[in-house]
Amino acid sequence: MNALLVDDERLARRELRRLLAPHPDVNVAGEAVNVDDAIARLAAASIDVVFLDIQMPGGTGFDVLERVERLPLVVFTTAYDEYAVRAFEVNAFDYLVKPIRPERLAAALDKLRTALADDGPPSASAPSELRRDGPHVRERVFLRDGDRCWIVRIADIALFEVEGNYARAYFSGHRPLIRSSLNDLEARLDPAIFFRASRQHLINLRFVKSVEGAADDTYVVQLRNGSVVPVSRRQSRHLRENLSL
Amino acid sequence: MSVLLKMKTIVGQDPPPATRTYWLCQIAGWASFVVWVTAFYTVYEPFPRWDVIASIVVIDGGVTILITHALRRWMYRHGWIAMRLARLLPRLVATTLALAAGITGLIVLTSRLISGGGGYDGNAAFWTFAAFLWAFGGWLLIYTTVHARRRHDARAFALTLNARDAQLQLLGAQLNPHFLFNCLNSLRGLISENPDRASAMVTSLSDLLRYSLRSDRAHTVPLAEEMTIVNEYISIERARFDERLRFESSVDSAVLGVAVPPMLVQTLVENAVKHGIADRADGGVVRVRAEVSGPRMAISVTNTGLMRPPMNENGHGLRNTIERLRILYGDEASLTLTDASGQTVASVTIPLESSRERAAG
Repeated sequence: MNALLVDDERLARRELRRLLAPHPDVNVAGEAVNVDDAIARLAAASIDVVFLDIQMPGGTGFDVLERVERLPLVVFTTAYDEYAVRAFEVNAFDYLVKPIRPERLAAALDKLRTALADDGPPSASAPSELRRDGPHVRERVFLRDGDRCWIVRIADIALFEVEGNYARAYFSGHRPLIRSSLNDLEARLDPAIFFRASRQHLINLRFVKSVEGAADDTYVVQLRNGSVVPVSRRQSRHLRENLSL
Repeated sequence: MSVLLKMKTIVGQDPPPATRTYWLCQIAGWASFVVWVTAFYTVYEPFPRWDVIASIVVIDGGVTILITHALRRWMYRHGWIAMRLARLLPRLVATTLALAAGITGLIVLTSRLISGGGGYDGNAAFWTFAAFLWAFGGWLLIYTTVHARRRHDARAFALTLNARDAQLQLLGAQLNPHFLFNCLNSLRGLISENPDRASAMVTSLSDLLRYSLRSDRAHTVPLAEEMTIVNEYISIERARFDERLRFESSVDSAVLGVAVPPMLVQTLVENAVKHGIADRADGGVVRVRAEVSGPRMAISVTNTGLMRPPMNENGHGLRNTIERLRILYGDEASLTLTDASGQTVASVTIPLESSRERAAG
């Protein structure tokens, strides 16, 4: 696996490299010393996992995640208490507290190997799930709402709903407000999976529980997370084609 | 603390030496009682007798003082002083009744001796009893109330002292745990790279840690000692930030002996390193200046970079520092943060005089 080490302290990077040395399948593809550096390196090389420090010059590890196109698996390395990090972040792959115990690192690497094998290389997945260079549905996105952050698989998001200029994402009990417009999201996501039900809603078709007819030849979609979404008349026609109703 | 201890030893002990105020109240109180009873006697007795008035003075003014003074001793020895009201009240009522009855008996006897019997009828005895009920009841009421009030004040004072100590202890700037763990992590990296430097870093870190633990106890230290620790801290941060950290200090020798709260300069320097170095990719300069400025010492810590809204823990450190200065010096000390021309300056002023006194005390 290709790993990127992000930490502003030379000695901390050196120490992590030393700890990774006994694991020959881990290829340290690069090191980054600040937020911009990390973003550039993540864009340049295909990175499977990033070991990311949270406090850095010019921003935090979260700023890195917010600005990368394709999110690798994220392992936070932090001098904070692990639970202090969990308090404002949900779903990172793992957390390592510095100084890192070698056996704790080994356990994290085992978990990483399993996850990477499950996910498979992006090229092996069905091409229908891809749209241009858009993210793969099995891929993760980084969502941020105020102090809270989420790393969530795109496939696990049931619904995006317009709220002012932003959108609210619904997934596994959370509903953060994210700084993207619904049009933006629609353009970036796979249309075979995410369907624009109306001006207000972008739904994940895999979450559809039932579709019921409503007045004026329109539909009302019920999602597995309990949301009920009315489909506009124009989009009802598309939905009919899409689901071959 | 000692005040609390004294309060505990009160129960079951001899009373403390009576104060001048206590005696003044005793004498004034019973003298006015004597005047009142004498006036009563002379108004209602067509032919007042000097020997009766003398007996009033001796018994109502003298014996009563002896009795109540003994009562005070009794109350201390039997723990009435610290007793809750519910347990104390029946005792006070019983004591009042017993004392009033006793002294009425004494007066009836005395009057028989003086006037050769028959001078005191049942009616007179009742009114005498009633008057002493008021007198002893009033005495006990006033004594226990004043005492309870004094105990309350003493406890409040002890609490204030305790709270001040506890507050200072709590505010005693600890090392930022985030710094500590990062430091240990760098140290582990340094062990294999440069064992000599690693070993020096362990020494510096130990000194810094010991000093920060001590800061909970000592209220002030000489500035020279504080600066030694600041330099240890900087040597640790140099190992972490390499050439990103540049440090300059200029401390006037006239202020080296001035007493400062421990970790005062250290906290400001740590803050400056955090914002001026750690958060900036190219690093920067941290400068410490300390000099005499009129009746005060002025310390300034400058770092490259503009002030940003303080992040949780650092904002906490600065708030603590301001609070410590307020507790130790009241309005005589100040801490201000300003930014201008690409630099952030933390300025502290501390009175030279009162900080010296505090160090001596």
